[in-house]
Amino acid sequence: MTKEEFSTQILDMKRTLYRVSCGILRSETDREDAVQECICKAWEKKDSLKDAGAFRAWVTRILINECYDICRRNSRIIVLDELPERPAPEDRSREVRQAILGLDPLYRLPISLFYIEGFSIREISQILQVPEGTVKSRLFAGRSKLKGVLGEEVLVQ
Amino acid sequence: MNDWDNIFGEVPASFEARILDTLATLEEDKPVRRLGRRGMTSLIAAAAAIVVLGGTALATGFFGLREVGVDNPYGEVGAATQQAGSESLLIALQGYPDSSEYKATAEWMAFLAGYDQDRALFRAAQENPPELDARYALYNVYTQEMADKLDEITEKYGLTLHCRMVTCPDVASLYASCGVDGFIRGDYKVSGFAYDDGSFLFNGSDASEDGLVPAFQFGRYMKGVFSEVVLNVGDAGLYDAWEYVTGDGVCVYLYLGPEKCVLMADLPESFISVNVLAGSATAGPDGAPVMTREKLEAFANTFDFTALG
Repeated sequence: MTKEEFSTQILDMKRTLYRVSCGILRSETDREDAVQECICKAWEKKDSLKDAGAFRAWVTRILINECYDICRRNSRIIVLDELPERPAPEDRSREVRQAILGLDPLYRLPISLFYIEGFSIREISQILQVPEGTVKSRLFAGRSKLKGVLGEEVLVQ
Repeated sequence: MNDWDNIFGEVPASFEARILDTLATLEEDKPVRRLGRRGMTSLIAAAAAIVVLGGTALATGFFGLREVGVDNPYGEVGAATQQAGSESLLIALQGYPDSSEYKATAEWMAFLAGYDQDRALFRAAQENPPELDARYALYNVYTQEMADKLDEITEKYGLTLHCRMVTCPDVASLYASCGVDGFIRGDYKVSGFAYDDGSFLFNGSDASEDGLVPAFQFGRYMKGVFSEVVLNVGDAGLYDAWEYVTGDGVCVYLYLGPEKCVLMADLPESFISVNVLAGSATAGPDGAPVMTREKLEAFANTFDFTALG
C-alpha cells in the first residue's frame, strides 16, 4: 500500500475515527493524540494486514486500543489544559448523543460501531475481539437501554 | 450517510488537521517520525512562560501542595514538564497527609509507579480480559495482582470502593444523584458524574458574561471511600497559598498558581478539591489576570460548602 493509498483511506474514514474516539475519550486533545498514534501504528504495521478489504475495521481496532491506552494513563489524572465541551449539535441529535455517551462502555462501542459506523456483526466481533454472540447480546442490551431513554423510533433507521 | 451521522456533529477542524499533519510525516520504508502530543506541547509552552510568584505561606495545620504530593506513575507527564525545566507534581485530592484517604491514594500511586511500566500487562488484559470481581469495575484494575493490592490498601485504611456511577449532564441531575441540593450558587454550566456513596466530580464553566472563572473541575470525595484521582499541578513552588474563611464560615485552603488554581476544603464528611483552569498568568480579554487572590476568594463563595457535609 502506497502512502497515497493509505492517506486516502484514512481520510475517507475520518468521521469514523472521530466518532469512535468520541465514544471513549472526553477530551478533544486526547482524541487528537489517539488518532495520531493510531495512524502512525497503522502505517508501521500496514504490511501485516492481509485483507485490504478489512482496512477500516483494522484501523478502528487500532484506534480503540489507543483510546483505551490514553484512558488508562489519564483516568487517574485530571487533565488540566482543557475541558472537553464544545457546542453540541442541536435538536434530537444531542439527546441521542447524550444517551449513547451515557451507556456503559460495554454497550456504547457495539452500538456506535453498528448503528453509526455501519460495521457488520462479524466486523465488530473482530474489532472488539469478542465472539459474535457477545456482540449481539451487547447490542440487544444496549438497544434496550437506549429505548428506555429515547423511545423506539430513534433506533429504527 | 444516515441520520446517525449527525449525532456527533462535524469533525472538528483541529482533529482533521491532526490527521493531515500526521499523514504528512509518513515516509515510505522509513520509521514513523512521531509528532509531539499537542496537549503536552501546550503544557510545555505554558510552563516555560510562567512567572514566579510569592512563596507559599504555610499556617499551622495548613498544608502546602508539595505535602499532598504522591508518586507519579506516569512518566510522560513528568517528562513533558521537565523539558521546560520545571517540576511536575501530582497531588492527592482526597485528603491531607494525616488522613487515611490520602495515605491510601499515596500507597496506590507508589504501587503503580513500579508496576507494568511498559504496559505489557495492560495490553495483554485488553486481548484477554481477566475475570475480576465486579467491584473493581470503577477502578483501573486489570490484573488480579492489582486487585489484591487494592484490597490490601483499602483494608489497611478501612476504606470502601465506589460501587455505581451515574452521569450527570446538568445541575439538576447532579443534585439528584449526590443527594445534596443547592450547593452551587454561581451561574455555572455543569456536567459530570456521581457515585453511589455521594462522591462526585463535575466540569463547570461560567455561563455569565462577566464570570469569575472560565472553567473548573469540582470534586467531592467522601471520607471512608477510596479514590484514585490525582491532579498534576506542575511546580508547587509557584503557588501562592493561604487560608480563607468563606461567608458561610467554612475554612478553605486556596492555591493561586500561574496557570491554574486549587481550592481544598476538609469537611466533616467529605474532602473537596476544585481545580480552576486559569491562573495569575492567564490573561483575560482585557489583558488583566484572569485569577487573583480576590477573585479566587470570591469564587470560593459561589459554593455553599456547609451543604456538602
